[in-house]
Amino acid sequence: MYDSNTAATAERKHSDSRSVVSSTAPSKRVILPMGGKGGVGKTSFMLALAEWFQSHEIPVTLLDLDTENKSRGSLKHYFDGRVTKVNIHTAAGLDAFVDHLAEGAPIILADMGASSGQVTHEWFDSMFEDVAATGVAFTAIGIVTPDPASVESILSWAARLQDRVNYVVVENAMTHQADFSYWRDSEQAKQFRTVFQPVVLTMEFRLPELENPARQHGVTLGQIAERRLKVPELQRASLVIRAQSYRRRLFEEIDKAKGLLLP
Amino acid sequence: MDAKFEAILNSLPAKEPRSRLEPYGELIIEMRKRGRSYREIAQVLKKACGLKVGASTVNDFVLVRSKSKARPSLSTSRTTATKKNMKGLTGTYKDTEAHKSTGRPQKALEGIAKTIKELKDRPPKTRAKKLLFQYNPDEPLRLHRNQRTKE
Repeated sequence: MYDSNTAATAERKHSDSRSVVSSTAPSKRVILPMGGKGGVGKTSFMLALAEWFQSHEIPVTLLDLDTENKSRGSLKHYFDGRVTKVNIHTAAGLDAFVDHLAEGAPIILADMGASSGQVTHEWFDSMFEDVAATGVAFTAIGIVTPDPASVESILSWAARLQDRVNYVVVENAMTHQADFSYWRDSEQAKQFRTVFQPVVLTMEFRLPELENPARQHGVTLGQIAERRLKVPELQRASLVIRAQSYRRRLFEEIDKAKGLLLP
Repeated sequence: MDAKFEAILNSLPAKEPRSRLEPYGELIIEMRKRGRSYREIAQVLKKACGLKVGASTVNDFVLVRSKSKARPSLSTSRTTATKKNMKGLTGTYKDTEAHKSTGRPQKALEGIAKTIKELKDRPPKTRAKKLLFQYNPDEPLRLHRNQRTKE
């Protein structure tokens, strides 16, 4: 039976089995969400990931490639000043990966928008082989929700990216008792898991009292947990403690995939 | 070369070196090999040769020289490449030349024809990889709840 707790086993298998990205150990890594479906929590997870790297004092380069999402909810909204906005809808938009890696960044976190599929797939088709040969590995983050469209989106991306990336799938519980049937039980998703053995993480349901003002004010869980802001509705002791708990548990989940997140 | 062209070439005055440092090229390169800095080389040239140049000029000179040495001229590299590519054909080509005198051109032509046939028969390199995972977005996701319960 499929169980998300098998993540650690899957990760071990990944490091043991044939390297899907490069025959040599990668020296750099690009992490990008598979952005086919909007509103599934891509940016929320990328934010958590950025904070996870920050907590380990590992430098990351943040790229905001979500051209549709211009203000609230974009990576730039949360990390303004540290985020480079990139327009991927140009002939060489994703070449930004190569340029930033060449400048010395060991890890790139690239937040992709919902309409980035075609551009990304074409970029992989034309550039992957030569970029991977320079020691760059790629990790694709898939976010699934109870909505089957989120699962279909991941499967579509995987059918194009194939084994050129490592896969991490995040089950984002957007409701209290989320039902991931289409992700856990559908034949196609099962086949995806068998072939690519993704590391599966859980992102638990967050209270709207915390989530909504955090989005509105562009603040991260870390900022709430460490009381580093002046937003009255996010200073309640109970919300601060909740933010601390969410962050701790999410970091524990992310730890399970560290082999696919570090170069 | 045509005698007329050769005469024209011979009538041209010798071209002066493009850099004042050209006559000291070997000395400069040797000093670099021995670990001398550009500034030191410039000082040696001033003291020993009476040539006043800046360290950056020496640097430029060494760079240009090393580049021209590292990158053979186009005609040379082309010749090398052609020779390399023709390796398999060399014998045949020689045969052709020889056959002019021996009167056996047929054998040489057969050799070339064989090479051409081999090249034609060689399948083109294909970059298409077998897909590990296929997904048809037009098909709905198929749930297998019962199977999961059994597992």
